[in-house]
Amino acid sequence: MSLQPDLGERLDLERKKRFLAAHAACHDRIYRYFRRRTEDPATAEDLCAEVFRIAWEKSRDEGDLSVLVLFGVARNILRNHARSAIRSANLLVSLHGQRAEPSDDVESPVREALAGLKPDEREVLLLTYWDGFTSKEISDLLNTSATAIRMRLHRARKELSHLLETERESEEAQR
Amino acid sequence: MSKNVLSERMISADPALEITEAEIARSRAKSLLFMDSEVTHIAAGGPISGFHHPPAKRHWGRLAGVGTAAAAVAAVVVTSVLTTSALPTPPAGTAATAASSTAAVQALSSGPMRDLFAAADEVLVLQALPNNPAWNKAYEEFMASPDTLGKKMPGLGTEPINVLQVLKGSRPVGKSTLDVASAPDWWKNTNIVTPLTFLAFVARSTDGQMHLMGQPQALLEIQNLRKPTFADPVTHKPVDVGAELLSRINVAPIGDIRIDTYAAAPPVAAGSDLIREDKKNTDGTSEGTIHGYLGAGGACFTFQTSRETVYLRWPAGYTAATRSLPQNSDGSFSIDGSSRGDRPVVLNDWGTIYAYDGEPRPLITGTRTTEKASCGNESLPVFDVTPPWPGASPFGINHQGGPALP
Repeated sequence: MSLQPDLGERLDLERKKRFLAAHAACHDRIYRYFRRRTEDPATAEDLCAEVFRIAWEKSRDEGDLSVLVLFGVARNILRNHARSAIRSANLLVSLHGQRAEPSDDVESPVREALAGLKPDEREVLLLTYWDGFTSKEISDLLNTSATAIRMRLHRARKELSHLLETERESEEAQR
Repeated sequence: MSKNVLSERMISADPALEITEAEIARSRAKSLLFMDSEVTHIAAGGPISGFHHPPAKRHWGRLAGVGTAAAAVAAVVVTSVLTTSALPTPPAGTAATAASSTAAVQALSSGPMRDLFAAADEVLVLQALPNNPAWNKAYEEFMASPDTLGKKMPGLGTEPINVLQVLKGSRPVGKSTLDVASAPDWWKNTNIVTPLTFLAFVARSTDGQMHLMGQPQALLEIQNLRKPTFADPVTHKPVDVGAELLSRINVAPIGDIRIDTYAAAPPVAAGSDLIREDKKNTDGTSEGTIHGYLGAGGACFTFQTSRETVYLRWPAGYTAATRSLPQNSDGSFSIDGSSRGDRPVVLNDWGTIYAYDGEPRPLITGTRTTEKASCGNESLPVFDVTPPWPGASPFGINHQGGPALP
C-alpha cells in the first residue's frame, strides 16, 4: 500500500485552502488596484488573473500569500505591463498611472492634477486614498521607511492642493 | 485646502467607484481558473518566491539593504503573528472552563481510541494559542531569506496552549505549554478569537517533558464545539472517536443566550439579496457596521450602512454571548490588539464567533423579508443572514470550508 496518493491529496487540500483564503482576502482590492491604473476592465482582469496565477504557484511551496505580498506581485506585473505599453507606444496614459477616462466628470480636475504630480508622490496618494493602505503598509510595499512615506505623502498632498487651487483660480478667472 | 476636503475629493475621484459587481465577479472567476490546472506555470524573470520584491536598486552606503528587506518581510509576518505579551487570558464561556481540573482516569472500555487513550499519559481538550516568540523569529528569518523555494518551514516546538478539559492526567485547566513538534503545520493557523480546538493525546518523554504523541490520530481537530465532531487536522476528514469518549467531552459554549433565528439551519440556500455600504470612508474603505444589543430577554443585532439599517435574523442554531475580544487603544477590534474589551457577539451553529458588535463589514448577503422587528429602540426591516457554509466564521480558514464570507 502506498501512502503517496494520500499525502498528495492532503497537500492539494492545504494548498487550495491557502490559495482560496488569499483570493477571498485580496482579489477585489487587487482588481480595483488595476482598474485604477489601467485602460479598461479587460486589461485589469488579465493582470489580476496573472497575480493569482503566480499566487497559485507560490502556494505550492507554502510561500507567503499575505495582502502585501500579493500587492507586491501586482506592482511588478503593473510595471511590466507599463513597459509593454510604452514599447507599443500607444498607451502613454499608463505611464502617468491614469486611466483613459472621459474628462467631463466632476472629479476630472483631481485626476488631471494627479497626473501632474511626480510619479512617486502620486503613487503614495493613490495607495493611501484609493487602495486604503496605511503609511506603514505602504512603506513595506515600497520597501522604504514609514517616515519617508509620510514625508512623501505630506509633499504630495501639498502639491495636489496647490494644483487644484490653481485650477480653481484659473476657472474663476475665465468666468 | 484642508486634509479632509482633499481626502473627500480624492475618494470621489476614485475610478473604482464605477466598477460594477458583475465586472468584479467576472474577474473573480477568471482569476480562479488556474487553480485546477494541471500545468506547471513558469514565471519569467526568476524564482516566484521573490516575485513580490521590487527590483534591487543600487544604493551605495545602504549596506544594510538586506536587513531592510528582511525587516519589511518580517513586518508583514509580525502583523499576523502575535507576541506572547498579547496572548489572551484563557477564553471564558465554554463548558469545559467550568470543569474541574481533576483528572478523569477511567479507561475507555471500547471504541477506536481505547488503545491510544490507554497509552497516553494525558488526554486533553485544548486550544492552540499563537506560536511562541522563538518560532515567530525562525519564521521571520525563513520568510526573509532570499530564496525559500525548496526549504522547509521552521518546525513547531514547545508551544502555548489553553487546556479546556482534562480527560486523563493531572494537568490543571488554563494556560500552559506542550511540545507539539509532531503536530501538523496547520497548528500555526490558530488565532485568539476562534482558536483551533483539539483533542490531544500526550505522553511523557524520557526527560520528563510532555509531548504530543506521534501516532496517527494523536491530535484531532474539534470543529463543532456544540456537538463535538472530530476531524483529521491535515485532511479534515471526519474521525469517529467512539460514543464513550465523545460522551466525556464537553466544550459547548455556556452562558450564551437566545437570538432571533429563522427555521433553516446551515447550509441554507444562498440569499439573493445583499446590503452593502457604497459610501467611501476617509480611509478609502466602504464598510457598514454590525451593532449588537444584549439584555436579559435575549439579544439582537443590526447592520447599518449610510443608506439603511436592518434587523439581522440568523440561521437556526445561532446564539449570542458576550466575549472578551482583543482591541486597539481606541477600542476598535484588532486581532493583535494589546488590550481586551467585552462585546456582544453572535456564535454560529458550531459555537464559534461569527459577528461582533462594532464589526465593520462591506456587505451582508441573505434575504430581505417584509417583516419588521425591534432592536435598539428602533423598528427595522428584517434581513435573514445566510452564512455560506456550516461553521462559517470570518476569523479564518481554520474552521472548515474555506474563508468565510459575510
